[in-house]
Amino acid sequence: MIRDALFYAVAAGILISATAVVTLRNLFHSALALLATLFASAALFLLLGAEMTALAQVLVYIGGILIFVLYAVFLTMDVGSKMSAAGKFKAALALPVAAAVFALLAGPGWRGASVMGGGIHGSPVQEGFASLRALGSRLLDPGANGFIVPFEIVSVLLLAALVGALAVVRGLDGGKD
Amino acid sequence: MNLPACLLLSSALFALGVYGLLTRRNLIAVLMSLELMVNAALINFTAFARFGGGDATAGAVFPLFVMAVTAGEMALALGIVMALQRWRSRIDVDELNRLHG
Repeated sequence: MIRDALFYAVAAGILISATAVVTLRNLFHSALALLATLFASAALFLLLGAEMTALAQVLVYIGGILIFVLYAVFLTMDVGSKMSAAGKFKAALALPVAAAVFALLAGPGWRGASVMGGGIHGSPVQEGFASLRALGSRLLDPGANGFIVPFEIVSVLLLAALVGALAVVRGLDGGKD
Repeated sequence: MNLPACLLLSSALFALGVYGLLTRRNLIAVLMSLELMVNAALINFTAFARFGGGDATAGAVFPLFVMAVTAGEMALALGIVMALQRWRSRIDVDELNRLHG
């Protein structure tokens, strides 16, 4: 009962702050609304029992990506200034397209989940399915069910992304511009 | 709190991201809309892991990979934003048509 109430409160928080992210004219305010959205979804992950996902969300998204976004906002524009609005035609087109995407996603999702319905409706997943211990042993498991190969590939990918970002920012000539 | 409610929530979040992607012109704002869409996918992954039965831990592993890839993507994208800022001093996506044939 209390979990349901918490879920609806968190869902409302996510949707309201996400609406603020896409509609506010001030880029800095928009980034702060994104912070609220990410925190609310971390709370949702906690409600769903995925504590490690919530932890990673706070550490990686809020502590990493969002700080980076805020730096980019500060470096590229005056904080008080407003963004230029989209053209009238694009703005008129965006709402129906977004509504169609929502209908296409939510309709089959709702029907399918209702068909699966009874059996899984709050079916008891074992507690701690996303605990640090469970996820860590699964990530480093070299067996058929493990994820050690993608785990290692991701580390190479992150290194490549960092080197690539540095190369883009400095310029390939070593920053002699 | 059940699976259909979570799917509705993530669909709405994804649609909001699509709306932002179409209406924003500032490149950083476009990237923030992209973050909203990725977040909707993460909510979907976690909801199916929680309510879908089967291998729940494998479902919880995927969001971690998605986060890592998104972190790399954002590092690269914001690097491009910085480079564009120096080159053009404006980062509206409508004006980035240099590759236009």
